[in-house]
Amino acid sequence: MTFEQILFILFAGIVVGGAASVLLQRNPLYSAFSLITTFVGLACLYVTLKAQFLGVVQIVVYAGAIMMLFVFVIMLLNIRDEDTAVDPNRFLVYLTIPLGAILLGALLYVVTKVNLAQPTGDEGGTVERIGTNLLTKYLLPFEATSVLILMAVVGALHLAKREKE
Amino acid sequence: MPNVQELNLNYNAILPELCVIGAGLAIMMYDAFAPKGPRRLAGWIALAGLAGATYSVWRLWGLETAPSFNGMLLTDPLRLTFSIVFLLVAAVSVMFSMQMLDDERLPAGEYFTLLMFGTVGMLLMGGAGDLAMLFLGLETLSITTYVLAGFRRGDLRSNESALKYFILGSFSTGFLLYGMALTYGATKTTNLAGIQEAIATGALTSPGLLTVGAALMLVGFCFKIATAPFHFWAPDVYQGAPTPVTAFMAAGPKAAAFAAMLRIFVMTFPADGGDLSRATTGVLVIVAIMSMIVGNVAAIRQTDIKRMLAYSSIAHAGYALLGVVAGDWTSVMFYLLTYAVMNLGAFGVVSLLARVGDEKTDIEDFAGIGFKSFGLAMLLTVFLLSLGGIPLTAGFMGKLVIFKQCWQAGHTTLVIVAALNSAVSLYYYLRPVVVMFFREREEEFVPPRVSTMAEVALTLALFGVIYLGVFPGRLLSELDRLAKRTPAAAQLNSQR
Amino acid sequence: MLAEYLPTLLFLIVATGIGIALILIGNFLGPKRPSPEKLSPYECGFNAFEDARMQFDVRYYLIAILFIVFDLEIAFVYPWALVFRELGVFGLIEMGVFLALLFIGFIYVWKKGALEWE
Repeated sequence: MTFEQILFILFAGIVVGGAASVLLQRNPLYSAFSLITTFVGLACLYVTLKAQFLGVVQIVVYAGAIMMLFVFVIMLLNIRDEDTAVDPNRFLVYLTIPLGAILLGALLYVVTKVNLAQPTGDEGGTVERIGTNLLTKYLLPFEATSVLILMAVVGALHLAKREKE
Repeated sequence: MPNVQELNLNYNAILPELCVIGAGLAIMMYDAFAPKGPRRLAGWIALAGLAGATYSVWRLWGLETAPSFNGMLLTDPLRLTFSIVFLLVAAVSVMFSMQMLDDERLPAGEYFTLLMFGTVGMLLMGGAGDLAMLFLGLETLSITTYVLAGFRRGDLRSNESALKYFILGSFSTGFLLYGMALTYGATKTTNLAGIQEAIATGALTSPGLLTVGAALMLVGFCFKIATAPFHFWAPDVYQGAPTPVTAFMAAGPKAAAFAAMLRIFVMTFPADGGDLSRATTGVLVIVAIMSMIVGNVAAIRQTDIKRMLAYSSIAHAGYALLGVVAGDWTSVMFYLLTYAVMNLGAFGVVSLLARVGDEKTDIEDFAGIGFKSFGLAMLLTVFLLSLGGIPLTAGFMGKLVIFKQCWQAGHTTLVIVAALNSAVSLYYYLRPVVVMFFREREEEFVPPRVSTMAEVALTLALFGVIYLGVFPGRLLSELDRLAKRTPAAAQLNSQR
Repeated sequence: MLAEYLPTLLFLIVATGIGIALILIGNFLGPKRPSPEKLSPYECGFNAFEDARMQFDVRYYLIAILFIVFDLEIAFVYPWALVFRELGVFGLIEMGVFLALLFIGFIYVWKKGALEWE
C-alpha cells in the first residue's frame, strides 16, 4: 500500500462520505456544508493528480462562491426541516436502485478492464502550462467562455432583479 | 511569442459568430444606456446582426477551409448548412417575439441579448471540432434557453417551465460531460479528428471505456433532442414557456443538438459495423421507434395545442433520428430545415391566436374561428398538414428524403414503422383544423392583432414550407454536391 | 513532488483532529440533562416570540451571482499572469478581448442598477 494509495483512499472517502451526507441530511444547510466537504476532498484529489491550479480554483470558486450562492438560496427559500413532504412517487425507488446498480456495475466493469497506461511523466497541470494552453491551443473555447459568462450575467440580472414599481 | 501561424486564427471563419456576438453586445449597450421606455430598436439590431451573419456564412460557402483555431472550428458544409438553419430560426423567432414583448411590456433588450447569445451557442455547436468547443456551445445555448423559458417572471407556468428545463437539462449535461470525459480517457484527445484517428488506428486505452463514453454521450444528446424515453420534460416545458420562446426551443436547440450528434456519431465514430457502431445504431433505432410511438400516441389525447405540438416534436425528433441511423447528415439537415419552418410557423400562429400572455391555448378555444380569422386559420392548417406530411408540403419532402436514405442504408423495418406513424399522426394534426372550421363557436371572437413583423415571419415560414415542398430539387442537389466534399462523408462513401 | 504538500496534509489532519476531539470530549465528559428551558433559544431572559429567520432579500442573491461571475473572470486571469511574458503582445490582445467583453458586462450591470443596494 503506497503512500499515494493511502492518500487516495482518504480523500476519496471524504468525497464519497460528503456526497452521501448531502443526500441523507434532513436540514438543507447541513447538506450544503457536506457538499463543501466533498469539494475540499475533490480539491485534495486534484492536487494528488498534479493539477494544483484546478484544486485551488475548485476551492476558491466552487466551495467559496458557488456554495455561498447555495446557502443564500436555501436561506431565501427558508426551508426548514419539517417542510420535506412525503414523496408520492415512492415506488420509483424500486426502479431507480436496480437501474442505478446496473449503471454502476457497467462503469465498474469497464474501469477494471481499462489498460491503465503509466502517466507520461510530464510536470502536470501547472499554472504556467494551463496559461499557455489556454491562450494558444484553447483560444476559441476561452473567448467563448467570456460570451458564456456575459450571457449568464444578463440572464441572472433578468431573473433576479427587483421590480422597481 | 507563440507561433501565430500554427494556430490558424482564421477570422473569416469565425465571422458569423462575431456578427451575432456584436449584435448581442450592441443590444446590451443599447439596453443599458437608452432612456426609459420600451427598447424598440433591440429587435432590429438583432435582425441586422443575423443578416450580417448570414452574409458571412454565404461568403464562406463553397470554400475549402481548413480547421481553424487549432482544430476547434471546422468550416465544413455541415457547419455552413446548419448555420443557415440556426440563423433562420433565430430571425423568425425574433420577428415573432417582437409582438409578444410589445404587448406584454417585457424587457426587450434582455430578451434579444439572450436570444443572440443563444444563437452564438448554436453556431459554435455546428462548427465544433473539439469536444470542449461542443460542450461550451451547448451550455451557452442551454442556459440561454432556460432563462428565456422563464422569461415571464410573473407567470407561474413560465417559472415551472424554466425550473423543469433547467433541472433536467443540467442533469443531462452531466451525462454528456461524463461521456466526454470517458471518451477522452479512451482516446487521449478531445479533438474530433484526433478521436477518429485514434479509433481507426486502434490506439485506445480501452475499447470498453469508449463504448461507455459513447453511451453516456448518447444519453445526454437524446435528452437534449427530447426523444423517448428522455422526453418527459418536453411537454411541460414547451407548454409553460412563452410561445415565441417555445418556437425557438422546438426548432433551434433541437437542430443544434442534432448537429452535435452528427458531428460525434456520424462524422467521428466509424460506421464500419464494428462493436461501437452496431451498439450506437441499435440504441438509436430503439430510441427512434419509441419516440415516434410515444410522441404520436400521446399527442392524440392532448387538449392543449402547445402540448400537442410538443409531443409532435418528440415524434419528429424520432423521424430525424432515422437519418442519424443511416449515417447521412444531409438528409438530417434537410429534415431539420423543413421541420424548423413548419414548426416555427405553427407555433407562430398559436402565439397570435393564444392572445396576450398565452391565455387561450386549448384547442377548444379555437372552435369556429376558421372563417372569422381566415388567414391565420389557413396558415395553421397548412403548417399542421405539413407537420403531418401531406404531399406538396415541406414536411412530406423532408420525410421522403430521410426515409429514402434510411431505406437505402438497409433499415427497412424502421422506415415502415416511421411511415405508419406518420400516417397515424395525421389524425391529431387534422383535429385542430376540424375544430377551427367545422365547429360552432359560442363566445364572441375578436381576431387577434397581427403586427407587421409577425406577418413577415408567417409569410417567410409559409414560403419555406411551400418552396421546400414543391421545389426542393435545387437545395437537394446542392446538398448532395456538398456532401460528397465533406471529408468524413467521403471516407464513409468509400467504405460502402 | 507530492511530498511538498505533506505539511499541508498534516495541518489538515491536525486541524480536523483537534476539532473533532474537542466536540467528542465535550460529548462524552459533559453531563447530559437537557430540559425544555435549556434547549430553547436564548433571548435575553424572555421567551422568543418569533422564528429567527426573516424574509431573505433577493439582493443578496444578485450580489452573489455577480461575485461568482467576476471571480471566474479573475480565475482565468491568474494563469495568463504567469505566462504573459512568453505570450507577448499576442497574449495581451487575447486577454484584452476577454476582459473587454466582461467589462462590457460590468458596464451593463452598473447601468442596469444591479449594483444599487437601496
